[in-house]
Amino acid sequence: MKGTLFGFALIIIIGIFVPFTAGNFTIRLATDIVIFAILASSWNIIGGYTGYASFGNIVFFGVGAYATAVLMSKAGLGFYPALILSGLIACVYGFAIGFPILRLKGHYFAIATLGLAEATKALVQNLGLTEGNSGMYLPMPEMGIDASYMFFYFNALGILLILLIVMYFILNSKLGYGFVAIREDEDAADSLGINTTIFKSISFGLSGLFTGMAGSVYAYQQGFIKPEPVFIVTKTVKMIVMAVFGGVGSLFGPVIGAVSIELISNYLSEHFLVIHTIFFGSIIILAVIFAPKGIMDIITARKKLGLSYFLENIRKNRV
Amino acid sequence: MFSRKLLLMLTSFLLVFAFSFSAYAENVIKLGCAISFTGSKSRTGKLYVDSYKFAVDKVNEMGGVNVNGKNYKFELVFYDDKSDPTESARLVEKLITVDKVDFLLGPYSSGITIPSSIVARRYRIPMIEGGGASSKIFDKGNKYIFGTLPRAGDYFRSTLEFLTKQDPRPEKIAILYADDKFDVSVGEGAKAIAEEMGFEVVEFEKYSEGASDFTSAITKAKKAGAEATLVAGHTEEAINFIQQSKELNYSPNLLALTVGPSEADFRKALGKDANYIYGVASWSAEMNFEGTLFEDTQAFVKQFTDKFGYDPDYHNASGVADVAIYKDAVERANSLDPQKVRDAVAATSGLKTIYGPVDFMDNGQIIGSSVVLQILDGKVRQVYPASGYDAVYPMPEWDKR
Repeated sequence: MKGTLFGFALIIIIGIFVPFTAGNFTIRLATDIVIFAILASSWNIIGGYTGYASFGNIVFFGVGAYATAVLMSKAGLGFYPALILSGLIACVYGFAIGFPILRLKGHYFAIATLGLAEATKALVQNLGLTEGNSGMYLPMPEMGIDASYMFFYFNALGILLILLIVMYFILNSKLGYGFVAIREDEDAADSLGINTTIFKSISFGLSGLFTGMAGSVYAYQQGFIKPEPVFIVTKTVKMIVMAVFGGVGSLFGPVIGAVSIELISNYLSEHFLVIHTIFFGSIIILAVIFAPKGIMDIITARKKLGLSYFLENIRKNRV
Repeated sequence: MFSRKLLLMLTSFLLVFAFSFSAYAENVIKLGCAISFTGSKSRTGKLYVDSYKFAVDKVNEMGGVNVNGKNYKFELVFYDDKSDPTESARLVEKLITVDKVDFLLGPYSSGITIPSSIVARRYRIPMIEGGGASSKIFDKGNKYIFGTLPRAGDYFRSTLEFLTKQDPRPEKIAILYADDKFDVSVGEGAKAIAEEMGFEVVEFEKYSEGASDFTSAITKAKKAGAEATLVAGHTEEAINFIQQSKELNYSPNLLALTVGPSEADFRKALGKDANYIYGVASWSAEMNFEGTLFEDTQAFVKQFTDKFGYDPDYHNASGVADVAIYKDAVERANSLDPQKVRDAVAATSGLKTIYGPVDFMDNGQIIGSSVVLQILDGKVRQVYPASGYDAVYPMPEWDKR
């Protein structure tokens, strides 16, 4: 409880502090990091707490981005109505799709979600409404450059905070216990009277809601979107890597993961123009071997921290 | 006494050195470029990186850029956009606000160019790009983006023009095109131009990218009596198309393909059947344009091949032209002010480059020209506008070769 409060306080203080100390590039970088923190935290709802490894969460991002593009440039809506509607559309999409595909388990579920993302991309590529494969423009925000970057940043930060607060309350409610019960043993949860189908679909829908809203802010900031980049599988992989790196199944783990991964990646590509990918890959591999439970676990298990902590992880995972 | 003299000498030497150093550091024009060093676009991205570097070195070798009587050197600042438009837009932001570059060079591919150009527009910094041809880049009234790849829709203009000059002039034309964005633009553009020039388009058909069976399309063209067939697609499709045309003995007066004829793989796969096939290109290494950085296209091709070990194609030439345009525009503007340079770029008129003379349309895209190529004796030759090789028209029939 104390730790959670401390975590929230830290995010709010750092979050508000950052944009007033740095230039526009840093604000934009920070916005991208916060967006990734939302994506990783949303993935954590379905993948971390409910135990269903979704490999297609990017679909909600794409749906959110395209919903915003269509609502703003075709229907002439303002940003906030578009943001909320985009989130809801992604949420309903996740909830509805959840019914059939959440019956699958393990690898089958992962493959089905992967297929879902590809199929949705193909749909967007061929619809007249979304201008096919050539991409869509969004209206430019009518404010100064500096103000617009602040605007995107604080909207993203706001969504992240709402997501974390909502998750905090859910985790301390019947719904949250239901998610965890499904992860630990779905049959047992079922026999205890949890309607697993509904619970799983809610989890998937929630994941979709926030991912969709992140997609919405992204699209408005980017000003132009194309199907390929907003439905790209590697972004789902990045969400998972961030969640794992920070700590799966913990409230702040994915946020820490997103911040550290993006900062490391940014630092490396700044200093090594081409071979940054090799260094980055090596860091991920080492992290997974030595600290499979993520940075969160290192922080909370600090009394044991030292060489023995890492060696124990290796022993436990039989590397 | 001696040591004092020495000290004085040393100090003055250091001062001169320091001054010359700071003077050197001031006289630099920074060109920023976020482009794909890694990821799916890196293969073509590298062509632009090589060209930008090559052209910038050349400008500096020639004494740099003259502004207000002072000489400036070009300096490139590169970042890797990882073939990701999000990353690209962010890096352009960084180039402008952190590295404080004076002007921007573009990335590769239309999808990445658009978000970056939006950032350039927000800060009112001109960007000249050589790697995006989509009309989407230019049709939103962005006054800070300039592109040196010609409109896809104009690709077959030179071929159709070539046809109007033949005697007897053909009347019926078939157009086939793949369903990707670029080829759709090429196909639709060709149809519009053909009709404008008074040809009858007897077949206008779209096929899916990667298709391998063209027999029904060829049969249809044959039946409709198409005298010329234009195909906008990719190398594999081009090879299949020619092989099947031979099998079905379809031999119109002219068979023209966008991609294929200029590539070595195409000629290797088809052997002597590749002869007499027509192609188009916005630029070819066979052309000869007088340039400002290089004496002419041929001199450029030779120096480039010596340095990088591969033959430059239109991507490279377009990239070199981008740098040449900046040199010319900055000198004409006689200022480093982004707005003045932007206006000077827009006013570029008939600038001589090894890529051809450069003029921009009002929307910032180059007024392009394409040339007609034909494979003669296994070599790709430019046949229109005339360059010393005569076109073989009509193509000889398959059994009379």
